[in-house]
Amino acid sequence: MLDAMLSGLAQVLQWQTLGIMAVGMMIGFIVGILPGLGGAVTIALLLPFTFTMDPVQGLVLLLSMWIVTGTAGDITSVLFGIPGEATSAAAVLDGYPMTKKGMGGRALGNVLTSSGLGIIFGAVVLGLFITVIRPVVMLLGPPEFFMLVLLGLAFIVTLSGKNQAKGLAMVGFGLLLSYVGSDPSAGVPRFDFGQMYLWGGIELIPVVVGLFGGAEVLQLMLTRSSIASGSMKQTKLTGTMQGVSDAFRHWPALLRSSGVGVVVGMLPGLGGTVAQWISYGQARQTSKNPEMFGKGAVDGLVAAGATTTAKDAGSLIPTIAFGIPGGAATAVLLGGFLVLGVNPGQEMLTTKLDVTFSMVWTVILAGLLGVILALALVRPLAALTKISGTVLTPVLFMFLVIGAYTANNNWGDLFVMLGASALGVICLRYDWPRVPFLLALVLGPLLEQYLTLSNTLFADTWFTRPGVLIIAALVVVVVFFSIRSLLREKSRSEETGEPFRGTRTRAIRTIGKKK
Amino acid sequence: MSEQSPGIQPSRAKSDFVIAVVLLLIFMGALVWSLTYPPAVAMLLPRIAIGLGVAATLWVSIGKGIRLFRANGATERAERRSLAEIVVATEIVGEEAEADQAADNDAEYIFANTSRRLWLISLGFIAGFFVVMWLFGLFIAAAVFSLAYLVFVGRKRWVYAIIYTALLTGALWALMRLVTYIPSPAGILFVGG
Repeated sequence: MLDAMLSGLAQVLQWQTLGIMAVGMMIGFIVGILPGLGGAVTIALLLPFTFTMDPVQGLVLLLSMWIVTGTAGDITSVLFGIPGEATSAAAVLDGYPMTKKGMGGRALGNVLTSSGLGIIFGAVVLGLFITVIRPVVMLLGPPEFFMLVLLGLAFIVTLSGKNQAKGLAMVGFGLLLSYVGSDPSAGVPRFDFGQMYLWGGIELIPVVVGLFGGAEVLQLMLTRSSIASGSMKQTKLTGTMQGVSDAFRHWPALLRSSGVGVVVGMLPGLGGTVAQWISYGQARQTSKNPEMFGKGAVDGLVAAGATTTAKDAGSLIPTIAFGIPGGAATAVLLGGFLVLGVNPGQEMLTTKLDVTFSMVWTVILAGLLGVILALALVRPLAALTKISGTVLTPVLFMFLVIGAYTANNNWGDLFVMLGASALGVICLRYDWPRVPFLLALVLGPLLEQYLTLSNTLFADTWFTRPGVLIIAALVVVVVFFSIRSLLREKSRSEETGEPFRGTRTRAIRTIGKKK
Repeated sequence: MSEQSPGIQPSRAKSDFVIAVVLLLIFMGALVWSLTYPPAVAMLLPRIAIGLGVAATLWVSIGKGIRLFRANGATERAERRSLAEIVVATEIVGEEAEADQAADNDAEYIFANTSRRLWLISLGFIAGFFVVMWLFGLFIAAAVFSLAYLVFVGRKRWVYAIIYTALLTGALWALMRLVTYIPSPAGILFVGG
């Protein structure tokens, strides 16, 4: 184990790898600050560039970019009151009021340090989890993995909140599309419309690029604006070190928020957007000055910053250990693992353990360096927000086209990307969830692969394996509690006349209520 | 938003209903198609996915259909009363009204409120790009798109647009031909483009 940890560190500390990390971080800063492309799409767009890299270098590029994205998003949240990333929205509530009071430097020092400490906490948990989970994963076979994927799908659906029916429909649609292509037993193409392109199934990359990136670029084309219109000249950026010390002074809030981030990040389908609000809510509940929340609360900003990055490390845990992505970005990252020849599950915890630990080190290094660079380069980075949407559009549009086309070098990829873009726009416009669809598309083939292997290896006796029964019980429990919570919520809303919101939003509603 | 809510909620229920019905038709089509395959082809999981989809889309479409029906009835009754009651009547449809206001995000607002002219211009540029790429390949399409978009939509000066386009196309060409060796879409009239 120690050998693998040291080997992972040594591989990351190669000059060439560090150079790749610098490139990844630079892209992460740009993506994080600018509107439009988020972490998931950028991972998809960068995937083709990793084809010629060795696994560690490829993973370093993808991870360093992704980790820095969250940190950079906090800069626009604090300075302009506009979240650079959806997961940075909570930082706006207290960061922007501090900036308006002339404490922008202190707010930035606080949120960036919290972000750095959050990622270290998350990476340590990730490293520990890898150590602890290894013997457990070694005991699991295809039947247990089949049930784990099923459990992941149950989580995705139940966490869709008020949109549970819509979430379920999108999971069904994603699963159905994931079964387009040759079947694993007879090799007969299914649902292929007579198109040879579809024999290999629907590629993940064009779908991600269209579903998230296409919709965002179209949004940019329609608005044509830059994200920040105010001048930064009047913004005072002094007091950064006081902000740094604020983050350390509020260590209980930092630890709790990091813990929430890691745990919520691990649950498939919930994601960082929700994690930040749960974390912010608990910070307010436990704060000595809850009345300051929303007006520039230092501990509120600590909670927001720490969660942003800790949840990323958390979502890597199920991705690495079980091949079950926690969210959209890890779903694409899972595709990246396979492109780079690294198989999640037993392989990443045994023969490729050094590669796995190189990921942990990358998360730590990129997280820390990202914070230091962000503090040092905050003014030029903030200036990026002045670039108008019309100037960005041609560049982003070309990247979408290249990103989609490189999946198979086929026009079919472009049509898939356009179809996914249309779906993404419909989802955004009419409030249908995109992430359940994407995760189902990723998990569908895994489900079929594990089912086929289970049937081949164990015939129909695999149903009675203890691991299978335990996980099946967990699936039942998850579904049961979800339905119960939904029914209770609905009956309460009928009694009180308060609008029914669903299970997911209940956690968010803890904001503003002190125990 | 609050002023628009009464009108928006029935339209939300309507759009949900339409999307659910379209998905239901897709699932039903897939179910019929799945029955045409021989027994050797693995169809267990696709059919489970279809079953899941059918159940969920029926759930959405029936739920939204009932709400639309109630809303229409309530609105008709309310029309005979007063404007204030219309608001109350139509709001019974919107069990998600407040939640939607809270979740009302930029993307939804932009897609809902952009003028038809802007939509047509944006979609026209996208369609035009793909047509030029099909005819002349990626690099020429990138140059044409960039130049036209910056001049006609971005209102940039010609000099700015030309320099920007040259840099973008050059960087794209260098990235694909010299650095990554990723193949680019070739045009039917100009393979090298």
